[in-house]
Amino acid sequence: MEVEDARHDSQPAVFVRASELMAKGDSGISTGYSELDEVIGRLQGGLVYLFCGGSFVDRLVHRLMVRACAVGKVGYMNNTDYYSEKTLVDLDMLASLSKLEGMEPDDVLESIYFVAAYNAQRQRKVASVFAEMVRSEMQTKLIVIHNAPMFLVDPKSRLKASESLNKSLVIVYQLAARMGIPVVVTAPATQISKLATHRPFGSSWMRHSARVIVHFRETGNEMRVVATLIKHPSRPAPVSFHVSADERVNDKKWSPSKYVQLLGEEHRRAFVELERGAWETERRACECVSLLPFDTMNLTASVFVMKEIWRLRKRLEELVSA
Amino acid sequence: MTSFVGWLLDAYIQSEEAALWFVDLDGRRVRLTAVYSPFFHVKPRSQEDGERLTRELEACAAVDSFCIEPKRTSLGSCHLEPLIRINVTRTKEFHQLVRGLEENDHVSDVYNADFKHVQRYLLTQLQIEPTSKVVVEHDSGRLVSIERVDDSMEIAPPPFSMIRFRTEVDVPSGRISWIEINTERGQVRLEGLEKEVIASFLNYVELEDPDFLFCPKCEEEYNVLEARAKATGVEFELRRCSDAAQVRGQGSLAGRVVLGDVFYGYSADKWGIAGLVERARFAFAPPGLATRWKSNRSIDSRNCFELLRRGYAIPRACYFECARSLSELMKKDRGGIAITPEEGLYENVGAIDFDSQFPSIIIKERLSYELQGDESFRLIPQVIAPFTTKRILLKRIEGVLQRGSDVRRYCRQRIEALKMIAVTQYGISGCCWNRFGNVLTFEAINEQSRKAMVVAKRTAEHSGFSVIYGDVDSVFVSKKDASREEYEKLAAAISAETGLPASLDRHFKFIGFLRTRDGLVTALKRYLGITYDGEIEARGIEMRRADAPEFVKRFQASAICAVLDCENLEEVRTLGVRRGRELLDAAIRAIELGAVDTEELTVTKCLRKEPGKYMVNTAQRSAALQLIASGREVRAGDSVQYVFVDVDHANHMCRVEAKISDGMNYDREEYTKIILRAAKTVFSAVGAELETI
Repeated sequence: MEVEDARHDSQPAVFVRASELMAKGDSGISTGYSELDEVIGRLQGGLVYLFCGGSFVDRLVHRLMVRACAVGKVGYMNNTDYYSEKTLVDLDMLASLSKLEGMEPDDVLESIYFVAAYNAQRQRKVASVFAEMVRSEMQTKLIVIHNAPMFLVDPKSRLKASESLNKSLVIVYQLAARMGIPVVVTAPATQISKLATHRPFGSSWMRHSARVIVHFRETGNEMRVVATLIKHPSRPAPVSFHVSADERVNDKKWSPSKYVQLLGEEHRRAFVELERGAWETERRACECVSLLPFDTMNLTASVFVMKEIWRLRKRLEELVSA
Repeated sequence: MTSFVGWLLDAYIQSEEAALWFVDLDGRRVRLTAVYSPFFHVKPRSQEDGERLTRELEACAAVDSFCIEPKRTSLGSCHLEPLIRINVTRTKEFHQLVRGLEENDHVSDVYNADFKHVQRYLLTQLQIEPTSKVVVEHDSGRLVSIERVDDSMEIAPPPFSMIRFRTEVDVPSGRISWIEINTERGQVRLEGLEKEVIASFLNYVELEDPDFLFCPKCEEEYNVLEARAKATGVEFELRRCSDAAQVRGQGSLAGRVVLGDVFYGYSADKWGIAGLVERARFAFAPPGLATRWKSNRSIDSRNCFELLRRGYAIPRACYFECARSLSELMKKDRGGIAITPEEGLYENVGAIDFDSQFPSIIIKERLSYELQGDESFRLIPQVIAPFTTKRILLKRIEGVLQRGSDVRRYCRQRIEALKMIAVTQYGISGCCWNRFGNVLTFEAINEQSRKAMVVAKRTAEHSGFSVIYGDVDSVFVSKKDASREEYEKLAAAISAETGLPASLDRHFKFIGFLRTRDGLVTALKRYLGITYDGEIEARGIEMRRADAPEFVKRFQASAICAVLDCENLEEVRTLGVRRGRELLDAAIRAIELGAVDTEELTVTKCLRKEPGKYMVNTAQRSAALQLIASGREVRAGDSVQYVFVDVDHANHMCRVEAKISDGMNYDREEYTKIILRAAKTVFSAVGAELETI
């Protein structure tokens, strides 16, 4: 058995055939933003993606989690200050993005498992617990470590916090590489001087270990974000490009969420399945317009109701005048 | 060998041994010393690592001796693990040795390493809570034996004495202008030349010989005093013996204690030595530390004591939480239940309260950090059960003690201190800074609280009562013509159904629930009422605000009494409202005639930030700037007092006056507005509009 294991371990896992790579070209998780996908590709298993910047990074993370939930589970490691907020997950954002992606928010919430590190001291232990969960949950398709360098903010304890961060990341990265799960790490951006390019705040090791680093900067236009590719194994960097932040343009999906809430729990899932099948053709047809099927139905109903109101009002006027 | 009965006043580590101070029954202060041997435990990674480690320890000069000791290392587990106990030669080398071993490749974990030396001595060697009553045997200044005497039912505090002092520093020169001393006998202000002021203060302390020194700014004020004494050439000596002062950190001053500024549930201003004693005993810490540690440290210290005496080794941190789904978090991360009241005035209402609800839930459900494992021992219930029981007992005793007596005051101080001890256990249970903190425990306590509220509501409704208002641990119920006995019976029924102690806290003759200040919805914690005993109860209104002038508070209390002290609802709306209006007219007349004492119109506000950092010209900022201009030192956290003199003045500095003196002119229009607002609150509770009365 040991011989068998040793033989298995000795296989050079790093070499992959070009044909396999070609076949894999379409695999991985799309970020949901076509411009970003074009530059960094889909998120590939075992690689570490470091995204830094402001509020768009939050939105990107939420979207990635929702998209990953469509194919499996998501492991989410939360790094927040205990006193300000319990988790960085914005449930409203998650729900709206779930609807946009044609998924039930409840299913998404069920598919995301999380652990919370509220201080540097706990971060390493939390990483171990998290790794244990990832190991046991074979369906994990994405790992998110949100705001990883959170505890490095205090300059007094920065050294210890940095050590704890690196050790935590090592635990998660090793497992992710072994299990072929993409890891998304987020961090705030920092700038050494006004002329220098932005870079992720955090430990040097955190930056070195990331395969791809992208910085996002919000512009005056809410619908557009300037992204800067800071690090990439095969592309020239730094290079800036625009990302359209309007999810509706990128992807239009049908969402039954608002309506199924009216049904009982036991029939809900069956209804969703039936309805999804029944409206599949309409959904595809509607992908080229900005109206959703249910919106169309609502609109039709509203027009009909308005027509009835006008008819009744006219009749009432006639009666009054008579 | 001689012996005495006394109280343990203070403990500290001095020259590799423990120094203990006692106050005996005759009021004598006695200093004894005892052996202190610092130690900690390490867990080797494997047996082989253990062998290598022992060879390294043999060669280490800082190690006095070492041996193998079986210890429990995991909360909730009965499993014993062989750890190496390392006795350290000198306290100075302790932390260096711990650090070295933490980085040693053969060491898996280090235990019992993060206590203060005095804490380690108290927890592991003396094992007696500071301030406890004890029987001591000693020989030539050395402690021979010590035994705790049970004084848990004594209400008066031990005969420790305290003085409170406040120094006034002139900002430009940094000199001390005066020192104000408060004792139980009265107040003294020392003024004059700085050198004389300091010398007089030192003389005063020598003469009074207090055990506790308390100054509002704690060590900072003490340091200023020490520095100015040196600068003026006064010999600064407050110690009782030649031991080194350890004011910084633990407040020990060789026989005296400079108290810290953390007072939970009691106040040093009210000579709350009884409360301080409860806190020190719970925290297993000398009074200086007990008034410096916040709740988390105090609870941790007690937790460690309970675990150490049961054969546990204390790790640096534990982690019990597991990964879970966001949907589970959404379901479980909820607080207690609140039932919003309907606005209006109600007659004959009973407020049924769960006594110490969270601690009772913890004890009943045996909820602790370790939710699984060894059933025979649960840490939190074990820690809080005696303190919760004592509080409930003291509450019963308080009811029969004479109002206004010293004993009743001491009893209240103890109750308040014990309340904070019990309540903070709940809050700290899920805290990330708690060594054993577990969010799941915190959520489980909340869940049980919600269940209790639902059961209480259902029980009340089944008994024919209507639930008017509920707030986590209390329900306000009403039933037409129900007697006090019926309410008490309902409380007993709720207690039986929930398994938690519940009692009729207040029986209101009338209670009025108010809307929020913006008037949009009924507020949760905003009501006023009067009980059948004639006591006024109010929440969230002007008279409960710390910054409201005394005149306004007094007026509102009398107005509530005048309006609500009637026979029935109809009388409240006619006679009561008329009496209230008369009171209002009299108050407005007094303001307009300038007949109100300026002291009574003083507004007291706490500065939330440094005066220079305020973005808006608030009244408290203007007052603070006035004080600074007059040479006073004012910082964030300080309270400032002021009187409105002209709120419409173009210059914000002229709107208030911080230097309050008798007979000064105040802004009559502004104070009339304030009094009208207070009256409007009272009238709106009974459904009357001020404009139409």
